[in-house]
Amino acid sequence: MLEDIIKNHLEFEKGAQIVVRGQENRQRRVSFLKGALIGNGRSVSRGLNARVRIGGSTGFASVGSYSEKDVMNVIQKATENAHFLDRHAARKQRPIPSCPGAWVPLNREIHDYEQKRMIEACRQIDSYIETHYTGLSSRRVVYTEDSQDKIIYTSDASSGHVTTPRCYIYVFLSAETADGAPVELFEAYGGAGGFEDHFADLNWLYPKIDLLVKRLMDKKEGIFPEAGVKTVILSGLMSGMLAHEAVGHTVEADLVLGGSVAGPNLGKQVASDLVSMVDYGHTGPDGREGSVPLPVYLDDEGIPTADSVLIDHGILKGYMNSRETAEHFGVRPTGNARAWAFGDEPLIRMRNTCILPGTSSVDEMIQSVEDGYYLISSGNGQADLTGEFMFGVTLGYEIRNGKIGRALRDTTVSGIAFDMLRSVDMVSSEITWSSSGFCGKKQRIPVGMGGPHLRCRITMGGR
Amino acid sequence: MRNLEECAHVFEGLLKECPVDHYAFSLSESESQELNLENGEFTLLRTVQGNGISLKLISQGRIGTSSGTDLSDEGLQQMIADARASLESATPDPMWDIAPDQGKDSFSKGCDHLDLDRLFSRTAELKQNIEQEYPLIRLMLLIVSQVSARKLYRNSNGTAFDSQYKVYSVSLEFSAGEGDKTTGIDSVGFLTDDLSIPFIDQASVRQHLADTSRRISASAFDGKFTGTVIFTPECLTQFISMLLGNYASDGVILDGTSLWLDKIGECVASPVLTVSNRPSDPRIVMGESWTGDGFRTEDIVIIDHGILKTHLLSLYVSRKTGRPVTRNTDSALIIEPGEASIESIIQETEKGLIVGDFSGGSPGTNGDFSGVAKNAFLIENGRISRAVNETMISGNLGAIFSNIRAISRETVEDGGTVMPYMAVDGIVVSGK
Repeated sequence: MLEDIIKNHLEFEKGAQIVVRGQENRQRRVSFLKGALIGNGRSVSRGLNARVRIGGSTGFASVGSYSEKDVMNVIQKATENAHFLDRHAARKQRPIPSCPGAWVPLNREIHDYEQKRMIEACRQIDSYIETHYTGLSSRRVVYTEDSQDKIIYTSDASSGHVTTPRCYIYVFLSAETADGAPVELFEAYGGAGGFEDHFADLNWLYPKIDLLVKRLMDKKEGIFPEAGVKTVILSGLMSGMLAHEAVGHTVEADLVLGGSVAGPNLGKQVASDLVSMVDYGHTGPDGREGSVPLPVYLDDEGIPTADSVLIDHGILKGYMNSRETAEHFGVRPTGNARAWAFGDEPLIRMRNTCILPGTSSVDEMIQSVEDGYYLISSGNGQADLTGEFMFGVTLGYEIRNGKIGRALRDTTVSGIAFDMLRSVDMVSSEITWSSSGFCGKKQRIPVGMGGPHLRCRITMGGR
Repeated sequence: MRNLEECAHVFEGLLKECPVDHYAFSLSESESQELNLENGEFTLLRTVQGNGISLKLISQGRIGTSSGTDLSDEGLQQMIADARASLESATPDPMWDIAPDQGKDSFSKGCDHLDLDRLFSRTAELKQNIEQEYPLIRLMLLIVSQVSARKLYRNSNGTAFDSQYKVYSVSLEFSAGEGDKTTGIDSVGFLTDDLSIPFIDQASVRQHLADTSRRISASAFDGKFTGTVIFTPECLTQFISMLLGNYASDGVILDGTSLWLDKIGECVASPVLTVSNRPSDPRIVMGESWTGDGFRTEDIVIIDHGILKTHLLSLYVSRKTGRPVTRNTDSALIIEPGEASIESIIQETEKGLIVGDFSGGSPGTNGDFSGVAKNAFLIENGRISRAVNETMISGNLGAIFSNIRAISRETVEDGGTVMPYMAVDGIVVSGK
């Protein structure tokens, strides 16, 4: 864990708003391809940074070392940078109000485990797949672990010591169709915490891998969907990605100021009244502490996190903010300014973004569809300021007369987020979260995303 | 801060005491200064001083790697401890190796010195140019930076490389807006070592700003057709990168799923297509000097008039599969231009689509793709009729490069790649 060398070396210039952050990121990675160990590495980056705001100008400086002398150096360099900008391009900004707060205590220890345990876990899983399934053309098992350990001191907000460790085992499987075309599926297993929290015992994984193989075999016999606007059931994984990519980014306040579709729609009906959406800090829809996949307790501007309500029963209620944009929009910041590495400045980012559950069961939702598709997993997704989105669908099934039919080959879905959300007419009562990915926006950052099953209309890409 | 050579000397001393067969490491130090302009205002000046260490150990067929940022004695020792911990628990595989001795050499790229004041002036000028010439453009984020870096590479076979570079990088994200109407985000960027040219005249900055301004009136179109798609240079970079990743890279050759597995020397694309990776080309600002395996980087031709000349393989995969190693891991892709102007290519297109950006999932190993055509314009009867949105394209990667109708004589040089426009027949275009 990072040792606090900052607290005794802080000198805050009067009138300046200053954040000093010491940070260590660790990553561990092991990768097996068809039984061969092709990746086996450990990395650590450690450094310090300071962000200094004078007037409306902000200077930032970081250094890839971690000593008491560096604390003063980064504050000094960041101050010089703020003055440089103020001289060359002063901004007429209102001062950002102080947000004094208490020390946020360490939320979770980061434990380091021997590399051989990670290798052995991957080897066992690889061996299980090789032994039990002969119809695969390729298999890959990957262990990934990343953690952020941050000590944050601010001149006029909260300070604290916070961590976000997480680890996953990915299983990628490939098979060939009768006409020789490769088909693939993958899934990530794991979550917040360290190796021991998830993989001390691997037995819970095997039924999940069995299901993955079954689905791959279904996909091997799969069909291409019919293109066009269709009624679909989106799984929680898909609705979570929709919440993040197609809606979440448009309600990040910096993108609102850049002209996103959310700007002129604040306070308006943008979705069916069955749809509510929240970006959570550290409590989930059930209000329980830590019931989100990646709890965030303090952001990198020193704001203790709170929930950001984005859509309430179909009405667009608010945005996610930094301290500066919160002041611009006249609201309280809720801790969305986050940075990935010690050299990164905080940007407005999502944390755990989720569409709230409804009342329907998944079974009754599927039974309600006469001719449509059940879309379960997505490999990736993208959206832009207008809310126009595209998701790759890696696993799905047709629905005919209320029953699950043949599997689908890889396809895509697309649409305009608010149009699609207005078409939602059933919402399931359970939520599925995912948390293994990174969101990219200048820097990468770990995020959680989740949601219930949704019944809606969406444009399917055909062949 | 400690001198980089001194670090290398200390590190080599520590490594020579390690009971391993091979070691290879790189050490780096860099400083960048980055100006951020958000929504039309200068908001941030950022200085980042960074160090990097990357270490590979191989012993008795086992490999261990580590990387970090701490160049102190303790940091170097920790790197060795981490790599050894990886190595000792690894499965033996005799195919792991490092490049043989490549000698000693130094490389220098970019400009002689960096000028923050001049960079600031050029940035302010770009902001002013955009405001005056493209009034609909909302400049959401402009990031300009100057980067100075030095990197050393050493290995136990005797190779000693030293490189340094100084370059500028410019990246713009913008949309167009008029009242409540807004376009999607467009972006353009380039690397340069020359501040004598205004930023607005570099790479395809003007073209992107003009196209985005025109897209304010974009609308969906009804129906579906199979026709010509003209990929812009930036979009072509996306597709050629996907093509090489899907058919020629380490992973797909190693697991045998590549459709180009046994196609070396055979025709895999249209004869008008020549693709090379040339880090030493003068149009490439900061090309690679050595590969991760420790080979001195060589320029390569990947596809020569439609014939596949090489896969893109690391030393490990080359030994594992018995194929030649590729002494180039850069992405300095250059596609040779054609003879037709982009104007004449459009004029000869009866029905088609210009695609500026592709938003879609990575194609499966069979190369099938479908996704949203972003920054797109419809071509009807030889002219651009309108900007369109909510438009999807689908096809197959291999088929795209076999069905090339024309490659433009105009190219875009962004400091990292040199790409023309490319017109392809037989793509399925679907409207709303």
